Amino acid sequence: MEHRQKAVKSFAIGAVLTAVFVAAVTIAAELVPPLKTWLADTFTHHWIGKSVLAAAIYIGTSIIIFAVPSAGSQEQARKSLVALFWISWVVVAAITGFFLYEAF
Amino acid sequence: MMGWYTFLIVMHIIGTALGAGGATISDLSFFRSVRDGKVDRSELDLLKTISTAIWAGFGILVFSGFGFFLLYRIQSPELGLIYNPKLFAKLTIVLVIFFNGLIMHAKVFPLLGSFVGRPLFNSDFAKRATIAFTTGAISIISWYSALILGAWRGLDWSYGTIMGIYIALVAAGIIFANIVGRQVIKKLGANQL
Amino acid sequence: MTSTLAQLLIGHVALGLLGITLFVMVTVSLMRNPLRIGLIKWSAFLGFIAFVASWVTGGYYYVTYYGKAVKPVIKAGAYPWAHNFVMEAKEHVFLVLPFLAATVWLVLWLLGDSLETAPGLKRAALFLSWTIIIIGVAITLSGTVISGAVIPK
Repeated sequence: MEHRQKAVKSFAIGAVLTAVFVAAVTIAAELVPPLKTWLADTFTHHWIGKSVLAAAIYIGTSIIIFAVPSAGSQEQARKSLVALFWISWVVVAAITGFFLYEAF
Repeated sequence: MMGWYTFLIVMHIIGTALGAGGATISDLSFFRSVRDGKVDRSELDLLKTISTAIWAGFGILVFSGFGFFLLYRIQSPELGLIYNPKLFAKLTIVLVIFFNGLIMHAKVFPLLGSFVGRPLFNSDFAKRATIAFTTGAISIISWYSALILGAWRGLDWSYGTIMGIYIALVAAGIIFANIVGRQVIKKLGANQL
Repeated sequence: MTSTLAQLLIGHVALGLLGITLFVMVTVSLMRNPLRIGLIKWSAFLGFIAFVASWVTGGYYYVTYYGKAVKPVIKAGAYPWAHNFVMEAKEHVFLVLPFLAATVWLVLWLLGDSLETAPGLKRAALFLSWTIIIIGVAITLSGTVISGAVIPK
């Protein structure tokens, strides 16, 4: 059970980091054109680059966090899910707000 | 051979029939339950079954509705059919139906479940029943509004006008449902004494 | 638009709607008592798969066709903000969805059997499921706004 709780915590934190990455790379790529160009050159399209890197971050960080020796607990799992809930909304607001500002 | 447009129309009609019809029966069944002063297990199960039919109708409606959008987009984008005030009003109302339905599941069914076998003519139910009367009113008015908007060819009102009328109807419906509902509970309490 | 691209567009929309439908089932089921854990687990798993499939089909359409054939039409038309704001926001906000869906699925798969006795965990999963629905619906409506703005002269 503890292993499962730790796994949930790891995936939730992985999702938090992924969401933050998506917001950061999205905004950065618009403000720093060479970044967008690098993503397009490396992955054939900037959006594919963001998708691939997001998936890699989710899987990679989840595995790393799980591998770090620590005990799992239901409370830690719950707190990480709550953090994911709030961060998701901040990320959605940031991306939406940024493009609203850019467009108008 | 039935074309895609006809198929989508048929599915859309089935979805609307299940949804509007289900919402009507559901509201009638609820008021019938309240009128006899109790909700028994079979009445609650009936409401849940009707709710499942409504959700199925809603699903068919949404999938066929987006089928129309895709048909317009792929076959005749030059007509610009999607940016239509009536269509956007209908979409808004469908959104209201959706979230109202989720609130019903979150609040109304558990409320009724907690009163199975218990008399309804008490201040506890009267206080908590507002959510049931309100979501019921929103549901029935929204389903029929969406039905009318879908059927009314040539309606050329603005989005603001359509939504203004809709909101006024919903507000009136909520007030009416709560007044009538409370009167029924009050009468029940008086009859039992 | 070729018939393959049309099918990809249809697939993208249908799979996205399917994903939302499945997470509505997860959300409604999490609000019930007692929980039907088997239904919840499988709905979440299939919902996650549907979102990934929507990602791939939509992504192929976007990368190979939208940029060169659809974006210029929208930007030259009456509603350029449909690309500049709505599409730009949609294509990036969407990237959060599969990972939210994966996480909710994994919570239910790994800890679903203990949710009845862990109300805090159940509530967290429920809130995340609601988030998936709201974001999914917003993305779906955005797609309608974008498609509607494609009015070739």
